[in-house]
Amino acid sequence: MTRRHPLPWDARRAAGACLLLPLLLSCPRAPAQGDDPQRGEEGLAWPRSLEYLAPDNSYLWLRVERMDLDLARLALLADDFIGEKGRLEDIIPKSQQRQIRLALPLLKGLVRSPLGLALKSLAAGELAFGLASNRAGRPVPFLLARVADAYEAKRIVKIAKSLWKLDVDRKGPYLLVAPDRGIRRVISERLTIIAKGGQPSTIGRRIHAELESDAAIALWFDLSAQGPGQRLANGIAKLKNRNQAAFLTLGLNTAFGASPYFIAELRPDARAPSLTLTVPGLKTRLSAAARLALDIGPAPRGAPMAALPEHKDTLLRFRLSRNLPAYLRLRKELAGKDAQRGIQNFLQGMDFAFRGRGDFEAELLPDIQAGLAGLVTLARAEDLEKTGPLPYRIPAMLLAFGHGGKKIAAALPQALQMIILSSNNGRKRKGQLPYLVRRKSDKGIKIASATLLPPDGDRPYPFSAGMQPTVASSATHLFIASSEQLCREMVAAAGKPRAAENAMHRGAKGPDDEGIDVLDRLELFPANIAKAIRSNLEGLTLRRVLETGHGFASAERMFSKLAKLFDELGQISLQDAFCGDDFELSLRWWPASTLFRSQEVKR
Amino acid sequence: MKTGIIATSSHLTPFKPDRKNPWDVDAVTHLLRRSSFGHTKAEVAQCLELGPRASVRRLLEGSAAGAEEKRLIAARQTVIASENSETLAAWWWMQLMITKHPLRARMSLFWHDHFATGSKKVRSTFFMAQQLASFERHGLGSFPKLLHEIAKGPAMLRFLDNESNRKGQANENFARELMELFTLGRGKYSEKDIKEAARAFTGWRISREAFSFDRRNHDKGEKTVLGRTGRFAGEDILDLVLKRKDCARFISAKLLASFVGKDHPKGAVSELAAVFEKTGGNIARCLEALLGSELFFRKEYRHARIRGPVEWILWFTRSLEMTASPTEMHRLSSRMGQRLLDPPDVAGWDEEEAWISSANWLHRANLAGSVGRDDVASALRPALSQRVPRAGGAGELDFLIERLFPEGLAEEELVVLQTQAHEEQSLDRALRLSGLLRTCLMLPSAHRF
Repeated sequence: MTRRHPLPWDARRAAGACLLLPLLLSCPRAPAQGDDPQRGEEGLAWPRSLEYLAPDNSYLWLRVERMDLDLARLALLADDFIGEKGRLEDIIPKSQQRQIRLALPLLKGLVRSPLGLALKSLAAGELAFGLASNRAGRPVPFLLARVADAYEAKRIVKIAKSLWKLDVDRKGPYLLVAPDRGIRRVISERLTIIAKGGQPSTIGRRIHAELESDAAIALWFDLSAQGPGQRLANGIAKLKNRNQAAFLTLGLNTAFGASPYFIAELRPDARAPSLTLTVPGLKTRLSAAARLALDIGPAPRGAPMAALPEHKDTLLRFRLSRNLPAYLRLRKELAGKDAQRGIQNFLQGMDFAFRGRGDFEAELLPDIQAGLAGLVTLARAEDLEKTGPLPYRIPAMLLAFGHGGKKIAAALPQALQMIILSSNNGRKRKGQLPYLVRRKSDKGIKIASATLLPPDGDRPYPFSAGMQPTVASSATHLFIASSEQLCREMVAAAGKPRAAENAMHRGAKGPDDEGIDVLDRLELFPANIAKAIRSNLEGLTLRRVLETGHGFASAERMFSKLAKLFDELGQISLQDAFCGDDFELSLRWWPASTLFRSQEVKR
Repeated sequence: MKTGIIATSSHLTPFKPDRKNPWDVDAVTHLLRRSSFGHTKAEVAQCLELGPRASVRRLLEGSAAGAEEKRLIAARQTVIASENSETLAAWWWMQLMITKHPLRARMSLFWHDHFATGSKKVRSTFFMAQQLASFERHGLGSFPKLLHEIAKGPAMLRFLDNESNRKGQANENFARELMELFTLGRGKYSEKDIKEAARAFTGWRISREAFSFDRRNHDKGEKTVLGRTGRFAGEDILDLVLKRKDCARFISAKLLASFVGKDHPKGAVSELAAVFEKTGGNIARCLEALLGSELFFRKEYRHARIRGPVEWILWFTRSLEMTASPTEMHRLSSRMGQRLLDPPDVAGWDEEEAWISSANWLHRANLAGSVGRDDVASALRPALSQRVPRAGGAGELDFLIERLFPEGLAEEELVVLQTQAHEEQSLDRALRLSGLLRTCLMLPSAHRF
């Protein structure tokens, strides 16, 4: 009964999270002239970095460096998006809108209040949050901050104590908040040691060496230390489903190897903020299964795969580097029973379709390049008009594989014909319209496409009418597309020299990724998603009405706002890569709207 | 529409309010409960002002579709193109919730139960949508036209295997159900009649997604059906059956069971059958006679029937003038034993006591508990706390009673509600309202109509 709305709330939440992230971002400030972190007014040598104060049993460290906390801007943007007539109204559920509206006046009130000024002062300096184990082995949170001077520190302590009765200590320009007296004493002692010319803590030196200095927000988390790693392992062990437990263990091993710690860094570049998760030295620590999961090993057979050319209507573009044959061999370890059965059925079907050409799994599949490039575009109105008026404009999808075997190139169109013919029998049994399969040969490129026969009488066109499954094979590539037009365009474009220059074979280095071996990359083009929403407004609105019971007007308004939000999102890219031995997962965002760029917000 | 079918016999005598049986809120809500799914405050006030006969006429005429309903009807093509019968069912649910012609919607549901066809076997959203359109078009019109259209509809042709009925290999499914369940009733025909009638339906096919007649596979020989002999085609059998007095009696009995109750007096069937025959099987005029009759308003028939899951959900959503997620309502109603577009068999659903088996009752209780909350998919729209005016515990309870039970409640039911409203006065408003609605929906009065 407590089932949540399947859609579009999840999509909205994701979009909202993407939009709210930059509200917290501002460029790190350059250190002011004469602001010498080493020497304060008391003549003591204060530590160069807050990391040096970390207690030796710390396992989490979050550093926020010199953020320009502009509460006025935050309030303005929050009001614009989630206020009374904000852009997220209709998108956020009513109950949450109420809570947000209660919080907004508080945020606005903070702008000029002493508390707001104190927060601003805190953010302007260095700020760190950490978790350490106390003597009883329990996790204790602590917060460290360095403000402009001792006077400012005294003022903030006074405000903090009067408002929240916090356990705050002060020493020079440093503030220390921790509920555990022992932790406060350890940090305070370390501060005194360093001020008198002594050494920083061991863990402090390690954290300082591993965190990049240009990240505005940097997180260091050592799962192997003390409690969290053990608790996580216990939690996984308690899972009732053995497949789930195995999958999670594999995932964790893959992500963190034998020494599980990682670093996350946020760089609030005004043009393209980025978030990077790094697992240092992972490559050398990976198990064989994990290496397979990340496709690290001998280069697969076949020609290097070319990148898919640009397409103006692209919604999503991705390139994955995976050793498909090896995955299929390991299906018993990697997949649940249902998935195993599915893979088995798929392989049997393929054997049938390719019969006479060899064993699909053992002989034909390894000829396909262990990687694929995908492209999802919005089907164009003129293409759809050929099949008649449609209630949905369906996105078209294209997958490209490299291959090194003539057998595959020759057999694939025929295989598609077999597959479609057998699916036609099922469609006829269900009373659905059958596909008409055509095979063509065009300048060395073999194409097989399936067209849905138009319905008779006054029946509207079915949902799948926009699909025209097509397979094309050239000398080096296989293309599988949901629209013949797109397939032809891509085959033609891939043959041009420009595409070869763009080659994104495994381990290729992009212009922005010097020294980085990119494994997978997923790019999202929200402006085109907005276009897709507008093209399918009627269908989406009806679906929303039938799922929630809201009226048409309200549902339509919601999708219009969602489309507007997507218009402003710009471009998003997610990639995983190896940088030397370190594994990196990074999310980068190029906002389209000036609204998200801090320097251009009107005050 | 012509009016004035006035039966002169005792049961269908037009209802004349008197001191014992006045035209009051109780009588009006009885009429609205049986002929619509729920009753809004405005509808009750309007009927009180119009009087019994004019109210029945108004119900039969209905109101023009509102903007939302028009948009929903226009979206039918999108639903069909989705090729998903669940989407079609959700679409129908939404229409039932917002329609301005509830009697026509009720009759669509009635005919869906009568000419039961299931989407699982039909496997075509288009065919099911066509059948629903037929119910809507002729549900309050001519029964002969409806029967012809349904019999030749691809949904029925496929559901009862009539599309594979061929010369020399007659399939008796449709002929049997035509006589047993659609027109005459058990014992009014012989086994030979079925076999002969099945021969007449040979050659009926679906071609290009519509009815077609395959002459080569039609048995052109002589057949004897219900005492008549000739070279009958399928249409002739339908006409033969329609001319039988038993057909009029069978349909009349079904209408009486649905609108009055299963314990209706036997004499009423003959009287309504006479109206049926006199009007050439016009359902609207039969209902005009029935709903405006003295029999219909007798006290013993009020609150005598048990609401089915669809009726129960539509009763509280329409009475509160709210909507709920059609997809969720379809899912939950299926759990309660009534899955639209998918009746259990060709005989339709078992009604009355069968609706409240222990398993079904549990699902009703679950829905009653969740529907007033704002954070679940099955919640009412808009949120209950927005719909109910801020008037404290007692005021909020009055609002719910006025909307759901304007005719009043039994004393013990009222005590339960008042005690709860008093005890939960200090609770958070949303929580309190959700609890009150849950109790309202679980009262015996909420399940009888």
